[in-house]
Amino acid sequence: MLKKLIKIATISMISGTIMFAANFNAQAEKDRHAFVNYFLKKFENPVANRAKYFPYVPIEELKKDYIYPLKFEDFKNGPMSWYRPAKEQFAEINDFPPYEIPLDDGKELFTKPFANGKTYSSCFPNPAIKQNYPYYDTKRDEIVTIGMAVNECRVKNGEKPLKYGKGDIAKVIAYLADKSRGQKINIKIPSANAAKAYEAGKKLFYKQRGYLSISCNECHVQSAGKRIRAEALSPALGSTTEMPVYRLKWGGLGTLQRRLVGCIKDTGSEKPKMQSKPVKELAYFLTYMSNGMKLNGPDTRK
Amino acid sequence: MINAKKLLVLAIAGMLGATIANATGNEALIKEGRKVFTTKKLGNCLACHAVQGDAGIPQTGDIGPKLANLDTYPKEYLFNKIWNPNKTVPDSVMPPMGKSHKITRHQVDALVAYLQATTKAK
Repeated sequence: MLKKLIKIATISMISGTIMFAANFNAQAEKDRHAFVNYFLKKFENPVANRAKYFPYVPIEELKKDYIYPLKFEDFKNGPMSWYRPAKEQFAEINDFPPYEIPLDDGKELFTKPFANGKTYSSCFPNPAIKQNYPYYDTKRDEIVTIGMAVNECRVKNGEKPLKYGKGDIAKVIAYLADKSRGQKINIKIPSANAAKAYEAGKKLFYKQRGYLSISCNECHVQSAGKRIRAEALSPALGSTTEMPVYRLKWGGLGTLQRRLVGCIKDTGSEKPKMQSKPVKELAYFLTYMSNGMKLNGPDTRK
Repeated sequence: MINAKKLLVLAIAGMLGATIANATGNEALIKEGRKVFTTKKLGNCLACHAVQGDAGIPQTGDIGPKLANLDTYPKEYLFNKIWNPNKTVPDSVMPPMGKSHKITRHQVDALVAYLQATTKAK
């Protein structure tokens, strides 16, 4: 009898844990469905739904320059997904993709032995792993980004860590991204603390900041699909798929975090540090929102 | 008597002069307002707004409405809206250009003058 009771108690504890574990992403999944749904509805038929989503865009422009209806996968192309002039311009630029040379450099860096004779392969035996980053490491109880993983690999092999954001680290990540091209983003929320980190990132995404008092959301959700002067605003959905990105403005590759801190600075607030907790949380939230989308980085943007 | 006449003439001339000066002052203010509207480092309003009655501004954005008939609004309302739109609409996309000291009180006045004069229904 006692044995039976223990058995039942153990089973219910285990199943309880499993059920609880499955619930860490419950809120995030709700958010994500609403997020994706908003973008799909917004770009289903901008001409017919002008009053709801694009009240100030001239109707002739909606008819002439907007590409629709958009499917989930289309959003990985940023402003080129919906804005015909941008699509045409970038199709031409990507005839000879400007990221190709830094990508070749990345391959060289990845395969070149460290002083100890090992290479990055000792840490990344399968380089097609970018779809899992950033991930929440439950043992370390923190978000691990792909930049951190690259630098930890270097330190483990007796090398100095690289400076974050651009240069060699962006090139190595570009190689990993290229090898992961076509893989679907797969961000998990494995613990209560991971769910907290996600919520913190979400809060940052919707927080008005800087002297312009604008949030990520205001430009890249609400105003996605509109123009700030002649520039087409990119949708937040799919905005991490092209990373690291070759920006014409930078004249080189940059990582997701470089882009994020740059954007935050543009709102007129102090530039946060790359790999700081809030920037990692923001990246975690933003990448989660594009779960299931195929990676297509490195790519080119303005 | 002569003195009284002289005084009258002087007074009329003075009034006329003041009106002319005022008109010129207003025109200067309108001109300044347009500059604030179209200059990236000042108001940068054209990033989001087009202006009814001023088709000469190149490549206006379309995040905010095309501004029209603003002469029908009280000056003070427009001033406050530009100074800090978050006061009336907390999640407004429009930046609080005055409150954040990107532009001065005088420059906000200039914007109001420009917008009211330009968007007047004809």
